[in-house]
Amino acid sequence: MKHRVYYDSGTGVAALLAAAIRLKKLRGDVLPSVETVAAFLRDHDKVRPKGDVHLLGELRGERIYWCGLGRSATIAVRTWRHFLHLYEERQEDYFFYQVPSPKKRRWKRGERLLNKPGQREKARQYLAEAAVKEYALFLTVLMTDWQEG
Amino acid sequence: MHVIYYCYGSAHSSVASAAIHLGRLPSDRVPTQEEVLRLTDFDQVESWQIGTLFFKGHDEFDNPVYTLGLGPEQAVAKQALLSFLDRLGLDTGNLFLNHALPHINRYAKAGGALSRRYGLVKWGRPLSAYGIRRDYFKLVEFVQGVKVEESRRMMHKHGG
Repeated sequence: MKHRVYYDSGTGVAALLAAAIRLKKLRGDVLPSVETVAAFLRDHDKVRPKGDVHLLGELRGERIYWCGLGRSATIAVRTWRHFLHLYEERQEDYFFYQVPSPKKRRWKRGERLLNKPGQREKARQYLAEAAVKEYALFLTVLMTDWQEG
Repeated sequence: MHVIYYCYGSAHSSVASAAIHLGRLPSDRVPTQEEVLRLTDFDQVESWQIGTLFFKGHDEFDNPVYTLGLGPEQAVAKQALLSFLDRLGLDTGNLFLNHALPHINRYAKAGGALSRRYGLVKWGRPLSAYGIRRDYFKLVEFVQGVKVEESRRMMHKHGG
């Protein structure tokens, strides 16, 4: 079994979108609409502690995970590798991909609002708009399909 | 069971705690400045190594003891580690993580930052050693608490 973990330096939404494209839960061949992305986020962006790793799904014997690591991204990946060794797991079965976040102001505002009660719907709309404008970012990550992507 | 002391950079509080745990620093008296500075791993870890699990030795229960730096957002990095292992179905019950950073004073923290972050080793290293010594018994008390809990977990594990 292979394990692919998509992570970002924010709240994990960018990582979630890249993982979703990988699993074909979002289209990778055509640009989805803002409404499609917002609806997808509505179904998946649960409020959980920062750093939490989520399993999004499984495809052809591979498990796909996503998480938001804030400023701990580089450190967390190094720590994962060391603990995989501690547990005598096969390192070559694990792939970690850093997903950049869109630079749009709407994205940052969306991430900020995501954990504010009553603002989540607005947050999803901001995030979806920014994501669609810079959708190529996520597709580029999926093209880096080798160890340590 | 894996006993892990963690802090910001795995250079001062976790290193001193592990040294007390393994008997490399005394528990009944304050060590001299030289004794602290003579620890081969004190104030040594570089920034790029943060996140590395450093093996330090086996304790009297034959459990391996480690130090680990988790950077500026230790709670997030810890959550990422434990939830990752959980999602993989690996048993995290044998990890005994202990946060060493709250058990040192501001002298030790300032000295550590001067040395590791700003490269002022000449001033930072002695200051951090002074800080460790100044409130040394707080650190000893912390480690003794860890050992009590470790012993309790061992008894529980073996049905004692």
